[in-house]
Amino acid sequence: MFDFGPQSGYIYAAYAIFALGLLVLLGASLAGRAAARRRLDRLEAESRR
Amino acid sequence: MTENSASPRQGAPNAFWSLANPGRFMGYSGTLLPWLAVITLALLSYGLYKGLFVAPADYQQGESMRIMYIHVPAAWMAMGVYSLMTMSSLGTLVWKHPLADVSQKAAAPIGATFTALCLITGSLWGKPTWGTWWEWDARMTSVLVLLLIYLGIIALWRAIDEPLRAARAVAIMTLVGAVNLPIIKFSVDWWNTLHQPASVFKKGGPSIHPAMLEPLLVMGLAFGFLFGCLQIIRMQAEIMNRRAERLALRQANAEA
Repeated sequence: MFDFGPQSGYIYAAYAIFALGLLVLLGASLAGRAAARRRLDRLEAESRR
Repeated sequence: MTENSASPRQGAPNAFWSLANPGRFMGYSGTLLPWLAVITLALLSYGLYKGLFVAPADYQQGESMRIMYIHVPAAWMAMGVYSLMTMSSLGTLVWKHPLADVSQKAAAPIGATFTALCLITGSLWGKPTWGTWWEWDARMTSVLVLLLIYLGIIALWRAIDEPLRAARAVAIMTLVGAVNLPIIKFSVDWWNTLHQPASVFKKGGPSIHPAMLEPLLVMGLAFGFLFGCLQIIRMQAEIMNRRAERLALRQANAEA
């Protein structure tokens, strides 16, 4: 791992939390869109019947 | 928002309203999204590489200054997203733009995340630099207030079932909360705070060294594109959810 000296812990923690926050947000957004698409597809299929 | 309510308004440019059609938005946003994602990844990779491994350490703060490359762009986005939400609120209340409340609702969780990341990374930068995780100074407190406003807006969206009523209530709350933006921006000038005064967007140009400024601006741009990607995904989801709501209601009425 790259060494930033005695402040490495703070830097690693900041970047890890940043990455985690963005991944959670991206994952939640994609999951939300997939769920919306599934629900819409199901309702459209039901309305065609 | 109604699906086909994007007819040209008096005095508004036709192209603007035709792009505002949710159906059309789904089309062009689907084409745009992969390109935005590629640009975001490229900018993030370049900015992180330059910020973490190429840019020099600060002569006073040392290596901890590298947290700036995520903290400062997150702060820009926290305020930028709220500014967009303020514009969207005007779009809802004044121009009744068919995508304005969709955009407002989609942006709120993104803005809240950027604000939370700004506060957490700021705290992690503050400890080695100032010797404290948190101080109730004007800048930090006003950004915390911004986070609380974001959370209030998200809660209000969930509290009101009827979308039109929810959109109006949230738009008013957003406009009231916008008063916090100049307070955040000028807090370092109006009060004595631990934060340094503006060093990038200020009269006379940036005072930060070009070797640090370049990765910072690249990361700022990357965060902007990242927001674009997330906003499109969330707006697409919201449009589909509203279509599904209408369809479910129509089916329920037909069965009754």
